[in-house]
Amino acid sequence: MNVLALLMNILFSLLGLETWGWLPALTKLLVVIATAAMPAELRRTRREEWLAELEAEYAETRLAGFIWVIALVPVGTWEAVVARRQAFHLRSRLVVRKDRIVLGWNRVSDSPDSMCAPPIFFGIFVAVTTFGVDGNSPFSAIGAMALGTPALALVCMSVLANALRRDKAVRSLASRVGYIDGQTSKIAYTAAAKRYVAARDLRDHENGMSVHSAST
Amino acid sequence: MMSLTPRVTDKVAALLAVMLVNPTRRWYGLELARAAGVGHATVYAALGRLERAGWVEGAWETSPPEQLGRPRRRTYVLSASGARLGGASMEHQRARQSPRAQPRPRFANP
Repeated sequence: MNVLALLMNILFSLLGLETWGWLPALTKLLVVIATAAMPAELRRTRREEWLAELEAEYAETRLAGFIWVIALVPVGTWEAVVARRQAFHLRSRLVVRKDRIVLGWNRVSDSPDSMCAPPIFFGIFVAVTTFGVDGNSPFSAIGAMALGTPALALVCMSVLANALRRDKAVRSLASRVGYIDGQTSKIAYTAAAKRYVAARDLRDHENGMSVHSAST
Repeated sequence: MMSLTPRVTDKVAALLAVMLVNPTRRWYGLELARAAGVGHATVYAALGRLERAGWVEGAWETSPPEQLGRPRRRTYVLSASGARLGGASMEHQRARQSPRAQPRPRFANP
């Protein structure tokens, strides 16, 4: 097998001389993946912002745009990690589910703020690159691997970002409700959550009493 | 918004230095990156940090894309608090980095 010819084939598929091949679509897909782990509002903003910059600045030099977007992936991952909204979501979930105090280790992942898209994108991406849209792969197996491996790395980074964000959110909530630093078990978090709900109910009850007494 | 003081790293300081020259000017990300000499990607992390702290305000261009001939960009401008606190922070950083005017006192060995 002529590896060089294979690599050239992959390169020309990506950088089709006249239409630039798949590069624009691949670049936009990378933007979507890079922003996928962010909270919903930030994700919409960054995705629109980066796609606008891509079209405005790199329409003529698409390869440079592709390289720029690759550099954006760690930035997107970092922004997803430092985003600080999940704790509020957790708290609201606690309010809803106070009869069954679950601190949402699993429930966080299906919230609208969290990341669920990259695995789907990755699946579609690998399926398309491996089997092609009509069953005829545009790439060889090596080509699919060459494209799939960085995609897998991106997905892993996104999943890691989400995990870190979730952990940070839980710790943030736990610290707010009296979690003692050093305790890392789910039991400790749940106990902290119970204290939080009890304190909130007491506060609500007192407020209700004061409103009642004021009105009477 | 948030009121946390952002960590003024070299990149953040470079962005602030450029924006403080004309605090009312609106910049878009890549333009600011070029002017400040920071990475074209990492500029967004620094801008995000400043925006979360309330030092910078981001907004979309108001002109319609048809008129611009391209998608609307997100632009950033220093907020009032950003201009004040950013300027003070830059001064503080400059003072820390400047060489000492007074020589360090020398202690005799016992």
